[in-house]
Order: sequence, then C-alpha cells, then structure tokens
Amino acid sequence: MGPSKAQPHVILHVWPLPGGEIPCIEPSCLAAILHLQLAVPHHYAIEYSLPELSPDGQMPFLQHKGHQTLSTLSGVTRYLSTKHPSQTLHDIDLTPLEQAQSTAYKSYIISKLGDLVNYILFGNTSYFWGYTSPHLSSHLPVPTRYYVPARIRNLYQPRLESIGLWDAGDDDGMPKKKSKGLGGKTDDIEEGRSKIKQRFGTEKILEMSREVLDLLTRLLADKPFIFAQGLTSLDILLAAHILSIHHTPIPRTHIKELLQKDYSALIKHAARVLELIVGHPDSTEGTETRSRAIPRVQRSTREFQITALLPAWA
Amino acid sequence: MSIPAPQLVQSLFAKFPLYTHPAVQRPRQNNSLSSSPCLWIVPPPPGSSPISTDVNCVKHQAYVVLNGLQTGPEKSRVRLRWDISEDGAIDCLLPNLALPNGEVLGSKAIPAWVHARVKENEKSLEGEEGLDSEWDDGFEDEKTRDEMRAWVEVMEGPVKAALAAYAPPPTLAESLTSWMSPRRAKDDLAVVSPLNKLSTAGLSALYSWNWTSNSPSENTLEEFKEAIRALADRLGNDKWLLGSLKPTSLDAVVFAYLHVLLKAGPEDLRLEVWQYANLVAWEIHVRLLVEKAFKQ
Repeated sequence: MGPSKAQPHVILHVWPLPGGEIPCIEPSCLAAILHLQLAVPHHYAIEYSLPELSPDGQMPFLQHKGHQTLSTLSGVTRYLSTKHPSQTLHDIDLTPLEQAQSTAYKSYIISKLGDLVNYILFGNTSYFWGYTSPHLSSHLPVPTRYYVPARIRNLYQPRLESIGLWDAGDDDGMPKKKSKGLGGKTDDIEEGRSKIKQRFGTEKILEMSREVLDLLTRLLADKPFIFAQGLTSLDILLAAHILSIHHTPIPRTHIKELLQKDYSALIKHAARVLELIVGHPDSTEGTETRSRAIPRVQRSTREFQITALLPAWA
Repeated sequence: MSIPAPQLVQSLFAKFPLYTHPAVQRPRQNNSLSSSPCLWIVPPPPGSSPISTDVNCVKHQAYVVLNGLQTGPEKSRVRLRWDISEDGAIDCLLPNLALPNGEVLGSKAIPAWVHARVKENEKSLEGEEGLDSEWDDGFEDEKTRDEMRAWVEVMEGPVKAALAAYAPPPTLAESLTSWMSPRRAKDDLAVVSPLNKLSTAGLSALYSWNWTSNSPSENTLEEFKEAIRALADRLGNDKWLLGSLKPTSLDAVVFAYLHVLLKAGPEDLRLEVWQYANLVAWEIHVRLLVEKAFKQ
C-alpha cells in the first residue's frame, strides 16, 4: 500500500509537545502511539490538540471516525486489544501472578515516573515557560494562547505540591529575568537564599529520581524484557516514560543527565522496545527510516470559533 | 525600669499602674489519662466500631495495631479520640498523635514514632541489642519489597481516584463557603489525577467557575476494577499480602481502602469489591483484629 490516499479513520490526539524525532514526549501519549503502531501500523494519524476537546478531559484520546471516541491510555489499549489484538504483545501469555504484578508496576511507573515527567514539563518554572508554553501556545488561536497554558499548568499544581516538586530545583541556564530590587545588598541576600533553596530542591529531586530508577533497574535485572515471555504492555509503558525523559529537548535537565549517566540499562531497554515496534515486520515499508514509520503529525483542520470563549454550559 | 521622662508625663503614667499577675498553671489532668498517647481521628460511623470513616485515619489505626503496639506495655498503647475538628489538626489533616508530654505529631510523623516504640518494646523484651535491621518485616528479599512499593501506588492511584471521583459532590452551602475553610487545599481528586479537575466550562472560556463537578468517567471505573482484580489475584489465600510472615505497612494501607470501600463506599465500587470473596474474608479478619485491639 503506497502513501495513503484517503484520510485514515483512526486519529490519535496528543499533547503538542514534540521532542526531536518523537512526536510527543508526554509518556501516556507516547505509549498510545507505540500501541497504535503495533496494532494498526499505517492506518492511523496523529494530531495535536488539547484536553478540552476530549470526552472526559484526559489526554491522549482516540477518535475512530464513525465508531467512537475513547480517552486515556488504558481506554485506548483496551479498545485495541479487543478490535486489533497484536501478535507481538505477550500480555495474554502472562500467568495470573505476573498479570497482577504487571498491574502493580504499571501504577508505580505511572505515578512515580509520571510525577518526574510532569515536573519537567509543568513543575519547573523555567522549563515550562521556556519549552512547554511556547509549544502549547503555537497550537492555540489568538485570544486563548495567552491564558490557557498557565491554566493547564495550574491543573498540575496540587499534585506536584503534595510531593514537593512544585517549582523546585535549578533553572539550568534558561534565560532568567534579573529583577531590579530597591537596594543592591537586599538583592544579593535574596539571590543567595534562593540559590540555596534551589540547590536543596535539585538534590531532593535527584534523590527521588534515583530511588525510582533504582527500583526499575532491579525490576529489569539485565533481562531483555521485564517478563520472560517477551514484550508486554508494561515494557511499552516503561519505555515511553524513559524515552520522554531521554528525548526532552530542554538542555541540561538534571534528571535527564542522571538517567544518561547512571541508568544506561533502562535506556537500552527503551531503545530495544522502540526498535521492535517501529521496525515492525508487518509494515509494508519495512526498509524505511524510523522517522517515516511513525506517521508525521497532521495539521488539525479545526477552526477557531468565538463560542469557545464562552463556558460550555452557556 | 523607669524611663527618664518629664514630671508631667510621669504623673500621667502614674494614673495607670502596672500590675503583674502570677503565671497561669495549666490544669493538671488525671495522670492515668495523660500517660498514654492519644490518636485523634475522624469520627467513626455511629455504632460500636472504633474504626474511623476516613481512609488516612484507618491506615494509621491499622498500622498501630499491626505493629503490635496495643498488646505491648501499657505506656505504648494508643487511645482514640474523635471530638477534635479537622480544621485544628496539623496540616489540617487528621490523624494526629498527641503524646503524653504535650507534643502533637502530624500524620507524616506517626510511622516513625511507631517504629521507635516497636524497637523500644523489643529491646525491653530481649534485654539486649537485638537485630538492628531497619526492615524488620517478613519479606525474604528485595524483589518483594519493591513489589510492596508498587502495590502501595496501586492503592494510592486508581483506587483512591475512584473513591474521590465517586464521592458525593459538595452541597451548595459547602461550595459557597469553601474559600473560608483552611482545608481548601486538600482535594483528593486534583492530587491523584490532575486532568480530572478540568472545569466543565473548559479551558478556553474567558471565565470559568467550578460550580458543577464532573461525573466519574468510565475509565476511572475500569481502572479501579483492574486494580481490585489484580489485588484479589495477588492475595490469593495468603494470610498477609505478598506472602509475608508478618503484617506490613502495605497490609495497613490495603485494609484501610478495603474497609472504607466495603463499609461506606459508593454503590458501584462496593459491588465490585464484593465479588472477590478472599478480599472480603481478609478484610473481616483484619477488622476483627483492629476492633479487638482498640476495645481494651
């Protein structure tokens, strides 16, 4: 089958946060892309959009034209496993004990590693305004692009505050506004205090990351995949999170550097999973390079409507 | 004592003499009552059960009992008290532990206190330095301990999100006065799944007001069902979770969630847990232990 002539019926909507070759570095969106690539390699498209278009406000969401719309990663995987079960995933070969353990580790990864990724994308002030916000605004029409990114960021505040990752840590060389205080001396003291707070914050973040990544390295334990049967959805979830951190285009992120320095086993695992999925044997264009195996993100055809500014119940 | 001032000012001040009253003595309560630590919890449902209705309180109650504190020496036994309002607690979060020396510990500091008491009790029993291992649980290896951490996240993730999503929405009076209450920051659903709190008005609206709550989505229920099924599979017929020889903190957490789900949980969620007989039986078994421990 050559380049698709008709519009694909299955469209996956993801956060507009690209990172190098990866269309979206938000982990649940990336995991959904990998699942779709396994299940329906050339019959889907990716589009950038925002949570409010989704049926229950969660990202990613899948639109199967003429059928239904589903949201969240678990909804998408459930739908795919009933409609298009893939031969490469060995989820059904797991013993009941292993399935229970798989559910447990999935929750662990989603909450712990997900917190770290949310910190990078939304928690740290300079990363947010330097990277996330420009990308979000570029996909928004004019009036909303000035206030919606801040609102999205505020949605993540309670969670990150409850684990102490809100606005903690260093700026890592992102452009910082020099505030003009009233007296030079007060400024220096304030700066000194904030530097100390930032150093402690960074140390705490690195300690949390080390704890999580150590546990996951022990889980992987030099095996090619987590379970002996082969690739499972737990591997895909872990790979999606590791790839999200590894491919963030934000320069000199502490967590990314820690990952690259000490946890090469996890990076190798993620690369292995990506290789297996994107170099999928079922794909008819098997010799194509990686960047063409995952479809390019198509431009959304939605137009801006003024009624979007009114509350939905009005 | 006297500041140099003109005579006129001094005579003016003399009209307002300074009285010093003696220090107020704190009324001493009965010694027997104040000698044991007291756990402040959210009130239990009407009836004879001493187990609270709030998940956090049940977690700590179970943790105290399962670590064997209630069967130990008199001074480490914990009493219960539920007439303290949550607004007055540390971090506005009950449970708190009031110690005999007047100190009050917040809920985050309670596990450390329990550990210290357990070590003390062990030392006094054996009379010498026993095993100084920090992890005195019944697990054989690191792998099971890792799995334990993963299971705690299962309970604090999909299960907690389902409980929060199905919780009854605040009444009109509560929502109008919520800005006054110091507990405004404590919002389970926003903490567990941020995007669930998307206002029904949408992100783009120029003005949005959270006066309606989102109805729980099908995904929350599906993830909850998956989590409970996995938990039932993992428990099997074991006495304590993950095949441990002694009860652990994971048992306390799981018991807390199961108890609240079965006793006072929303209909849909309760029916889901009822399907698994081993979970129900395990909950009954641990509940009897906890109730007996606090009734002494």
